[in-house]
Amino acid sequence: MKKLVLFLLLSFPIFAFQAQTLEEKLSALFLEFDTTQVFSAKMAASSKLELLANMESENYAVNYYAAYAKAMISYMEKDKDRKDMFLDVADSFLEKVKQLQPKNEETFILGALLANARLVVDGGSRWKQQGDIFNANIDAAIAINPTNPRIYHLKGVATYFTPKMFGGGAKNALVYLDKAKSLFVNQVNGNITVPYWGEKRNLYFISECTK
Amino acid sequence: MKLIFLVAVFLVSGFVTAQTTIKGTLKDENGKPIMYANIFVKLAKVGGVSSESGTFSFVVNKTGVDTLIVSSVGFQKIKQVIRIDGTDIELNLVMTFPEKMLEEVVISAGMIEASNERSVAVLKPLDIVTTAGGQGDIVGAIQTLPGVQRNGGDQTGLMVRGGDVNESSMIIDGMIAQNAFQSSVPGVSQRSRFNPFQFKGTSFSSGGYTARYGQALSAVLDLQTNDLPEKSNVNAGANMAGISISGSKLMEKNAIEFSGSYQNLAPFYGLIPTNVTFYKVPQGGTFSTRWISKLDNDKGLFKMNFSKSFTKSGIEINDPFIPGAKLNYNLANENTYFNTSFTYAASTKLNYFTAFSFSNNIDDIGFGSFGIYNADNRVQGRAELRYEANKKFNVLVGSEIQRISYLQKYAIKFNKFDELMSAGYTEVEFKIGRKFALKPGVRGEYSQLLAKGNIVPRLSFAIRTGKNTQLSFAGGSFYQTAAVNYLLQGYRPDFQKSIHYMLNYQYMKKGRVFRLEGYYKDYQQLIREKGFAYTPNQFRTDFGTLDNTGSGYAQGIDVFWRDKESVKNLDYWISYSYIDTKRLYQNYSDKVTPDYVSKNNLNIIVKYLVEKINTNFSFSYNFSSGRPYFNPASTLFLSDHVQDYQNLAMTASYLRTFKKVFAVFYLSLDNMLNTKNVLGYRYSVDGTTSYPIIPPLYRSVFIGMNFSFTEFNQDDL
Repeated sequence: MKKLVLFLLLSFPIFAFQAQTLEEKLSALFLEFDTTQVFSAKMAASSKLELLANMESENYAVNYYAAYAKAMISYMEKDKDRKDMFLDVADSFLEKVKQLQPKNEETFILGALLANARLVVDGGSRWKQQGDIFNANIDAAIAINPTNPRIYHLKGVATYFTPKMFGGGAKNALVYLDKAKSLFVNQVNGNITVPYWGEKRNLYFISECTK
Repeated sequence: MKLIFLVAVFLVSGFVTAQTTIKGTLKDENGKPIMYANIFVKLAKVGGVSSESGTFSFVVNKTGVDTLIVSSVGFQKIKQVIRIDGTDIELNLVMTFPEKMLEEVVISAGMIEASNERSVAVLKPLDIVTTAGGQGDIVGAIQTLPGVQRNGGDQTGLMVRGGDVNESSMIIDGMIAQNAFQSSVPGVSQRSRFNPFQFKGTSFSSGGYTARYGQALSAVLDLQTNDLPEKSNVNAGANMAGISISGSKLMEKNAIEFSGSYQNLAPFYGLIPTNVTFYKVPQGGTFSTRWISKLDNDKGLFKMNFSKSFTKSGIEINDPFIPGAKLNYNLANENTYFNTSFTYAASTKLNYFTAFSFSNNIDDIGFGSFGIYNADNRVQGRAELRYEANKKFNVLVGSEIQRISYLQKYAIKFNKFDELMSAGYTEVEFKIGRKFALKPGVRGEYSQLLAKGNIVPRLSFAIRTGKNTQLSFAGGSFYQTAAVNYLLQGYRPDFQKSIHYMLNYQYMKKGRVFRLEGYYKDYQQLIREKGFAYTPNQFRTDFGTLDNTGSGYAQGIDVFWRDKESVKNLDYWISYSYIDTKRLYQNYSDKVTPDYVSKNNLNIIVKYLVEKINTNFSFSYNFSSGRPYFNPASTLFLSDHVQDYQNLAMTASYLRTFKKVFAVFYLSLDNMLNTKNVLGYRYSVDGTTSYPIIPPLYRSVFIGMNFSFTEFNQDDL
């Protein structure tokens, strides 16, 4: 009996510690990534997220953030070829995310995010193909949870990047971004297993639109 | 108790002794450190990220043989087997820049593609529609590509690398478009019949084309129609030459599309001074519909296209028999076109393609006091099987059969012929190593009309010579039966033949393309008319005796440069072609450069989007050196040349979205400099008086608008 107690005492904290570290680690890395606007710092954090996803390849959230970070890097990158290469990496994590939780609304939202990132690399020739993927993902996400603010945030961003002559532009984008803003208010932030990104980015695009 | 403690200590220390530190540096080929790369040990599931100085270090607790994977965007992944046994590992790795993907080695000799689906396409379908001077016609835009003769406005069809209009074939979804152009009235070039927006892909081959096709001595323009539309919509348009309405309805995996238009050139000819006299202004109507259906399992796609059109016009033309005199030329045309195709993926490796087409064309012509009635129809079927063993090897086997009937009534003459042409072909495509692609093919044809057949080889290959460059070759033998006007008169000469050799160098990088192509075409067994002296009269019916003793050659260099990367919103391309060609055929009295050939052709296309005013400007400049013409007073046959041809054209399109309506307003100016181009001369019978052949229009303006209404979705707000 004593032996057993001791065994449990010795072993339990190890397991508990491990389970805690992953979420904590992910939380810390996500914050490291999200709170900086310096490209090299974002690169470093995204590489750590990628490594974590390689290590914990069956964890939904970890793969989700690895894809998310690479997509955000792609938006910041200037070189078109490299933009695509970052998205190639993001796509490989999206595939895993789709396998793990195919019906999760956040899976579709991530799909839409990646499609939009692909589209803006070469809007002139990708608007149709990537626009279709974007819309299909958005529609699927709305069908599951129409109150998810990231849906309207992404629609707003996509509209912002669409030339005015094709129905895009700041004014049209603002309608979606404002809707997203009102929904972000109700969002509970901080639980890393439930994505909560986007509020700050949404405010940034609102400020860009109202310039 | 003590024992357990000891065991625990032992276990912990055991872990300690099995710890392996893996550390090292990462550099690129130039010795620069690679930062933020991922270094990962596969089975042990641990790893690290390289620092800003390219160093990395991490500890592995598991022992055994494992795989180290190093990845960083922009570099080729490294996979290395390592043995982890407690001894520290130090690695100094060099990451290489990735080679171009193998799939991108494409055979580009003789071929220019416009596609949204292939990353390597030189042009996108939209580029074709927005080219100034092309009048929104596919063929107009194709004329700005290297190797194609600029049509001065008097001829209808594609003239490629020394070949005349009869030697190019236009193909839609694998089937020959029998009457690809509107029926022509003499001296006025006609548009192709097809709406450029209905195509998702265009492959233009100026020679050395695939074994899938035959019966074109010079060139093939291969078009693929759209798959399912993006969404349901309705379009309405109006311009100086007519009105149109079209729409599509998307029902999940099925779609139906329709379009109807009415053309009447009265407003256009009423405003623009023309060099021709229409006593009956061209007018007509077109109706077309498409049905597209995808199988539920997404393995098959069915397409059906149907179109019907009627046009009529009356024009005063130079009497080809009496120089200086005019006569009335009246045309009523009725055209029917039907095309279906079905593609099916039986497995991941096996694909079927079947297609069927039917076309019928009737030209009712009044030629002065004569009546000419021309009717033709074509029924064609094609079946193909493609086996794709892997990315590096595929085999295509196919066959086609077509029945072609022509009928002509002229005065009291009644001429007709029926042809049954069957063909079989096979083509193998394989890639050797990472840099070499090879595509040999063979095609056999049999003509029932001539009771003769032929078997010809085709071959093309490409070698990647650098990161962004490749060299490719295309060649083969091509046969074509004699032109329709000879066959109608009962002549049955043998096939005409050409042999193509083309060598192409291509550089392609990020929106920049450079192509340099040299070619040689050997024309053999061309048709010659013997027994009558040369006359430039295209309506002649006295051909004398006919044989296949004609011959010719074409050789030249084409240069193409496109850049849409250097300046934001600016896209331009320059194409220049030099051709040296001579042939002895038809009623020519000597081997000379034909009267439709300009030795030098230059095209400059510039497109610029002015974002502030939502307006896209497109300019095109064309220079073609003077074509030869027949001067009866000259001692040398077809040795005189007209002045050089020049045309500067512009299109401005203003795009705008009003709520759910997408609108385009466009203004086109053709021949902005009002250059008085001359395309040739005609002479009176005694050779003393000459009459210039001039294009139907000098400077002209064309305006129009188009509205697109997308289906109203339930607003998601």
